[in-house]
Amino acid sequence: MNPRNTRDKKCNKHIAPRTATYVILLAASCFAMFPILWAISTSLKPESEVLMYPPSFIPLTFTWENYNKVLFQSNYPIYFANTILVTAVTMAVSVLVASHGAYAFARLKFKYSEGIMFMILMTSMIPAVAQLSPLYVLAVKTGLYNTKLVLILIYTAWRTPIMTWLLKGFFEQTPREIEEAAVMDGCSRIKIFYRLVLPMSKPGIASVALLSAVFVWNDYLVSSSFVSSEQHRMLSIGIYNYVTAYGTMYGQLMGGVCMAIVPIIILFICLQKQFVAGLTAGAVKG
Amino acid sequence: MKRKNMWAFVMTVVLILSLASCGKSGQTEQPPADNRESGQQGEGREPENPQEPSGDTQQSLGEGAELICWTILNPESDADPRNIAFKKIVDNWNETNAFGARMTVVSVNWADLHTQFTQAAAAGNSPDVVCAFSTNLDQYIAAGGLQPMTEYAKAWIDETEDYIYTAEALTKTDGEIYSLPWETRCMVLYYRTDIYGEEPPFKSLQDIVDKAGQYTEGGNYGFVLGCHGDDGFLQQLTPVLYAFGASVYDKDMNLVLNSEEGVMAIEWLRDLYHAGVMDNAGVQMNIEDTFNAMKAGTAYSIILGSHRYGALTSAEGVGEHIKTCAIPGVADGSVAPAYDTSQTLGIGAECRYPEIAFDFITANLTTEASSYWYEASCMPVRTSVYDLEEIKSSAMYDVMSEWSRIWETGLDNFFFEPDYNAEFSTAVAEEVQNLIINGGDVKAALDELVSRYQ
Amino acid sequence: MKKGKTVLLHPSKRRKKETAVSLLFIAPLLLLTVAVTFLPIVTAFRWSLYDTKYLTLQEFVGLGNYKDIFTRGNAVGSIINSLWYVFGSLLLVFPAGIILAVLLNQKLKGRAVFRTFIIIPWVISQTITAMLWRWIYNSSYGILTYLFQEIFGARVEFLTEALPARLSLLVANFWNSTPIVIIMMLAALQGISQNLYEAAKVDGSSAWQTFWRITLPLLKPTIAITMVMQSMEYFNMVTLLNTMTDGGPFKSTMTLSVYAYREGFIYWHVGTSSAISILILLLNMIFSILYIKLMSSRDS
Repeated sequence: MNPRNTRDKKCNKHIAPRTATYVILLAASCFAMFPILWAISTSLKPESEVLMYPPSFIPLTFTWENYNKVLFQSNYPIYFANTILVTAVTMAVSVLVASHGAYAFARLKFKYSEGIMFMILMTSMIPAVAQLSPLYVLAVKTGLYNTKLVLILIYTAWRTPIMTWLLKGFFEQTPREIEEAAVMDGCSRIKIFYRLVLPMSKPGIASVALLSAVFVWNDYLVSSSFVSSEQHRMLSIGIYNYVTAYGTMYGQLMGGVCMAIVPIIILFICLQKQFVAGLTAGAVKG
Repeated sequence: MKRKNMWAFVMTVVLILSLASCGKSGQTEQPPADNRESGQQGEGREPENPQEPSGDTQQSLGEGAELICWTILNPESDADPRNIAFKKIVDNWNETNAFGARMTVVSVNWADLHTQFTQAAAAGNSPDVVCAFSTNLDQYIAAGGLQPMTEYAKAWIDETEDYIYTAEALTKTDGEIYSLPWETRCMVLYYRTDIYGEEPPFKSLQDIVDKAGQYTEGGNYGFVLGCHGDDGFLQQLTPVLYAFGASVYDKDMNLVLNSEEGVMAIEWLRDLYHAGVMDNAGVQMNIEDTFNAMKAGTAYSIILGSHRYGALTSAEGVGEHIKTCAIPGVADGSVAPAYDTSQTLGIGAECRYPEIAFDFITANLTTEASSYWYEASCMPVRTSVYDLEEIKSSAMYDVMSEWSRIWETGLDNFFFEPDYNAEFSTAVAEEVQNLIINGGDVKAALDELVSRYQ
Repeated sequence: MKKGKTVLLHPSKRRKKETAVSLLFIAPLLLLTVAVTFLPIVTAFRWSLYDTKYLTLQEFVGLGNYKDIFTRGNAVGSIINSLWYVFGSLLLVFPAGIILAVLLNQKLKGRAVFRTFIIIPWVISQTITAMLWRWIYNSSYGILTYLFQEIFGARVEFLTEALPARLSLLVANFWNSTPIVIIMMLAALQGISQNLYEAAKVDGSSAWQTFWRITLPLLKPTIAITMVMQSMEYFNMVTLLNTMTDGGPFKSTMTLSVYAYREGFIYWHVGTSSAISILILLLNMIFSILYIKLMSSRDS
């Protein structure tokens, strides 16, 4: 067939799906953003307008008061810093622990490796509610109660099993031939892991890193149980300050929520490069 | 082959674990139920509190002791007017207390405090002072989180004539006093004056059934009493029960909800539904929904705690039309005895300096402190507050003194919730919803319910 | 095969070294899980065999707690609710997640913007998700109720009847957890060689055919893993459900984990709560094995 013909055909063929693609993505974006926009709109309303019925989509009176109060008249900045610290450390530690473990399970088959892997995975199958009380007792006994360390330990331990398993999948997908060639060249396993496998699995690592970060960022159960003092408090709990005994202060709550989203979005945009890196990944393999 | 290996391994580990746990339990099994009172027995209970940084000063009568107080208030924030009052009290006490001690405040969200504290109590990790809501008190005591303060409290109440509680009212069934209220509140009827007029809208409970239905339409409610939630439902229902001469518990904490009068109260709720005052959604509201509906202007009258007054009257568009009055009784013109609750302060089980802790507690109860609480719209626990000139001229004076008259009608019934109250309330709420929406014999259902928890 | 190769190249010495390296690699993982997760599970299992009062053990009751949750408690109803919730969510989340990921993986104008918008709900915590949606659904002042009334002239009660409440919860969960599936799929899509698509193009396959013949089979391993992960997540989910409906109306949204949470942290029947948790663990194990089997059997 004439090459030009094929191209023309393809163009025609693509118009309909392309429009459909945009329609679907637009609909999905609207659905995803609707509650967020509602939250943003609420955060810009004075408290008295928040529960008005019929509701106003666009605030009748615009105000930055809620943001002002959250940022400058509360401990929100402290909570923010705590959360960033705990999230960053947990993310780093859990990615390190999980990627090493995953590589061992994926490539360095050893005795009972499947059994051990399954036992580790099993630990993430037990609901958090069952572990909270035993862990609480343990934390009090070991003196770790009300420290950032206990949060990092628990988050890391709860998140690494599933991360390990996911990464194992990604590592198994990377072409074995390259590694075997390296083995033949006399590279040690450790070298192969750091020099070859890790760089090749960037999309997988980025996605599990996000998985760990978002979990920490949003957790309520652990941080509400294991930390009580103001200087260790996490954002997810601090935001709850606006749910008061006198009713929920939706304006400030939503202001706090909207600001809390920002760092994770930035993290996502930074890591996003990894998800669109398809072409380069293909090139490595090609 | 590989799969077989894996299973063999999993089974072995499970077996070993279960053996180990049985063996372990065999060794450490506690003789059941003896010396519970000592509060030192069992799993996870540690005599020492590693959180308390005062270990080295143990012998020295608490000179310079560091104490911790868990409370719903946050002195660091002005989101709640009570925070400001509390900050003044804490700062003042830290500077002037006779022991040279220091109180660090740990603020826990109000919706979370009772879970957090019960857990801390059960694990032997309770703070020195805790703010306990009166209905949660029994759970805290049962979990081993509070120590009695009977001696101190009795002496203090004796010398404080205008304290609104008697020592008797605060004594639990075991003969001990565990906490002192620093504010109080009662359930009142909130209504919209632009709908019902300025005067109290209902002559009797039956009047609500007859009158309120005309305003219920399309998501608006002439009156609503939601039957949902952990203990919010019983809090709203209790004044109604009192009006009929019923109650959930008697003074010895036996369940008596299934009395003839109790049945009448539930049937009154059902009448509200059949008269069109409440629909399915109304019946399934919890106390927070009810509050928000009043704030949004979609509920025209509700039963709610007096402490919510400030938040409701500041709502845009509807706030200026909201007033409170006593909840009507059964007979025309009568009122229901109030249901009183309060925030109290107690001393944690692991506190080494009960004397200092108690001193801090009473700092929250002085006339001066009470006037701070008053300014934060809390009903004060010292009647002498009402004699202060600046209070007499304050905007809230009339409202507050009316509440305090309503409050007095409930004094006989103060403080009688056992530790399974939240669970029982949830069960009652579910059963009542079912009775209202799906029908059924009220008496039989309540009998069954009570027998399950008795 | 792989073993053979290694042995052929470097006899026992290489193997030994590899074992040492693998031990080194899994040691932190093992330590952490044993100390932080395994010990509590053993404790929880032990508690499930006792009568408890708060956190103190009373008498040994063997399987009494397990018997109780089935006879006097609500275990059967909760299992049904859990299955409803888990499979309802999986059925909504996975098709949508896979399709959106494939679409987002194309070269499109504004792709980064779409991607960010669609992912955002994931970074909202369960507590806030529940509060937002509960508010949106509210039958007397919620915005969705208002919109329905304006557009269709009818009032819908989203959270007060069993079926609408279940569906409303599924929608909220769908909103919150589809992004994670999209992310996993996007990451996996990067691993698919571009050459395969080129080949398909040359063959004249339609986009649809390419999806079924190339994309989906190659995504399978990731789908299986993600499915196990999400299924566990849904089985174990507490905060979203508890904040949104408290398990109501009439226990129709009381899943096993909400049941465990309420027993454990509101009513403080720790033994009962632990027993329910062990039941959840068993269900999780069964279903995980099932997914893996299902996915691998289709392969061959």
